Amino acid sequence: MNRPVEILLVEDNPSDEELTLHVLSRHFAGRIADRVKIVRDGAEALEFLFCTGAYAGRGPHDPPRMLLLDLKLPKIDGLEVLRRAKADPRTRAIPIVVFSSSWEDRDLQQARELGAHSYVVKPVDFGQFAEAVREALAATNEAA
Amino acid sequence: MSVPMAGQTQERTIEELRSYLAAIVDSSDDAIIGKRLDGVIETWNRGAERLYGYAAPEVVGRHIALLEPPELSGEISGILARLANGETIRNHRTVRMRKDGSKVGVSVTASPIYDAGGRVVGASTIGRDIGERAALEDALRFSEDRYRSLALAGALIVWTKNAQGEVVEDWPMWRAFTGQRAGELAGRGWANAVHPDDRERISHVFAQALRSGTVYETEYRLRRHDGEYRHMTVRGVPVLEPGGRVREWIGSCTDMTERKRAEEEARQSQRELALKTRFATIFLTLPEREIFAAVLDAVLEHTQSPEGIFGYIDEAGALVFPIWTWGEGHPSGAPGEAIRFRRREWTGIWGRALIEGRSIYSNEPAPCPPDSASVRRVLAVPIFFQKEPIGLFAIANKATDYGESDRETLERIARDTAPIFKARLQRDAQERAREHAEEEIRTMNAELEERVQERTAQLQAANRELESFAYSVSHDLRAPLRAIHGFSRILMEEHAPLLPPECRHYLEVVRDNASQMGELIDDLLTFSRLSRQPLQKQPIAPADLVAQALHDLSPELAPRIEIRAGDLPPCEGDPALLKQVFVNLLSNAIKYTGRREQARIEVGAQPRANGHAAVYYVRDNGVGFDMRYVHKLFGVFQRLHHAADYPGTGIGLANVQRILHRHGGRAWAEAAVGQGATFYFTMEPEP
Repeated sequence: MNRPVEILLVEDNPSDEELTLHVLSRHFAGRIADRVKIVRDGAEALEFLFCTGAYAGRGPHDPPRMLLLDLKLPKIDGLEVLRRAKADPRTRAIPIVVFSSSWEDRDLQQARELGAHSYVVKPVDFGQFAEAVREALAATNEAA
Repeated sequence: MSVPMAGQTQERTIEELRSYLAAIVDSSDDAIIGKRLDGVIETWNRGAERLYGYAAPEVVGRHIALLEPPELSGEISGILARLANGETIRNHRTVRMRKDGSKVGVSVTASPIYDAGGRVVGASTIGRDIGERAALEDALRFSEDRYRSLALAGALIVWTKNAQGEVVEDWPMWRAFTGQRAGELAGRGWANAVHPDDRERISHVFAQALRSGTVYETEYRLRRHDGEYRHMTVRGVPVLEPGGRVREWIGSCTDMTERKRAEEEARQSQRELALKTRFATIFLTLPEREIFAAVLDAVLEHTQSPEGIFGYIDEAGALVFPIWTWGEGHPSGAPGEAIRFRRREWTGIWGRALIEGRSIYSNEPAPCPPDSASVRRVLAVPIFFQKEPIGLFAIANKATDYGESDRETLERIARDTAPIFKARLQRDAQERAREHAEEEIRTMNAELEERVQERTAQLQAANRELESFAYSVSHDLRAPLRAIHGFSRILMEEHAPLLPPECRHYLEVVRDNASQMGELIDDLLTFSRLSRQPLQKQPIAPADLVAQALHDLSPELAPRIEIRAGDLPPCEGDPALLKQVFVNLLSNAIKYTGRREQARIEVGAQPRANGHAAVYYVRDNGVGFDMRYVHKLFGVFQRLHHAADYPGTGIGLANVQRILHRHGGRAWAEAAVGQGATFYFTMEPEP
């Protein structure tokens, strides 16, 4: 994985992972799906972001352009990952698109308050999902 | 007019008899007087003229009382009264006054005169001169009688002493009172009738008076002739000569015994009256725990006893002393605390008094507790009300021994106190019963409250579980659904050309079912949210909610549908939720009139009556339903129609009912197959 990571996908459900990758590969040019780093829980996501634990050797200067963050995760849940990412100056600028299963989700409001870039119900509607990702990536371009 | 001979003869004979009798009367030496019952003199013979000095013409027609000497005033009217009663007075020795004012001793015999009908119409009086001496004797005897009467009547004894305080004249009144003989008075003999304990004291008083020559007053007890000592007040007054020297002493003794007794009785009854008043005040006004101390204080004060106990018999028959002041002696008895003695614990003098139902006093220290230690003399009196013992007074340690008069006093107090004491005990018992009942109610309420809180906590826990269940459902059921939906879509969109038509159909079925399952999950979550979400109540105009609902439903409205809205009375509730009610009912109505050429939907209300909640309704002319299944209508996921005919999840009416229940209202429906349906509901609690 020499090329920089475009998207950090934090997802523990393999079907959702596969669907997500499928949608990304279909809707984005430039084989973006190849530049998606997948982690399975919140702890691993934080280790990747802050170059600790299993990712201690990773260079600190190549953060992912954006995060696709599921809220319901093993070990450390998505809201906590969001909170820590937004609390640290090194990672604060990374746009985070929060994934959830339902509009009914009670964490919706909290995610917004913690600084999530957007909130997306998991891709039943592929087009809407792709649009959210596109917006988030565009936000990083503007920032840069 | 001829008169019968015989009658004339008889008349003459009576006339002759009268003259004859008149002659006898006239010639009599005795004074014979005829008088009417009112005392007016009718006849007056020569004897009377001689004896009294009045000629007949001078006195006939006047009152007989002119013969009465002033000192005997009233005697003659007394005699007349006796005569009127038919009594004869024989040989009555008395004194009469002559015309010249001189007195004459007479012996009088007086008899009533009857008329033919037997009524007393007058009297005859025969008076005989008995001479001056006899009259004097009588007068003297009369005088002694009077002294005796006077003395014995207790009014006064009058005596004299010479300047040196010696008895020199007879003291007939003193003798009459004391029964001493004339010779016994000389020197200091008179003083033998004075109570020995008083003699020394009064001799000092006399000596002092003699020295100073001034009026003195003292008291002593004087023995009456029957041996009883009487309380006398004594007053001595010096009679002075022109030079100022004492010539003699005149004194009087007045028997004050009766007056003293009367005064003492008056004082006693006044004290008892005051005591009764005090008791009445205590029993009527003081709170229960203060009564006993107050009554006991009053009794102790009245009986001059320093200690006492006062208790009542409670509902269980035990004797309760609300304040125990009886020294030590009771195992649990700290002084000042209430003590309850069950019947078998009744001991000592007071215990015996209660058990035997009578007053008992003792002036010897009792050996047994609780009368021991400090109780030396004691008097215990049970209090009875209508023969039922209701309490007890016991007093102790008076300075002198308890006796009958103390017993009577305390019994009188007990008797006088009983009715009001009983009334108070009843009142207090009722009060206690009421307090007890209130306490029970409070306890029950507290328990109820506790149970309610427990239940509420359980319900809240159940709600939380339900909520987390719903949350899990939303996440966990969706994930596989998403996979089914997503991958079948990929198949359809990206690989359709490779699939045979049959496979494409199956994929469509899979996707349709996955979609429907998604809706079911969404509806279930909505339903669960309706249960959790707090109500935001406010005044509502239901007509506005209907308008909003119709706006939301506008994509489903078609020209074939006619909607009429009547007057909808205002109510109170959560506008968002109640709008949902209208949305669901109207959308049902639209759905089930879908096959009507002319669909008619009516929204209205029945007028509010007698404070009942307004009943709103939504009526349609759609397919209706079979009333046999009406009980299933509002259940979750219950459907009365085939999904193929009328799509839906079967959650709408369950949500309607849930919303109305949360507002305290309810929903029900009427319908017939093919005849349309009417859904009624109330949005407020009904009385």
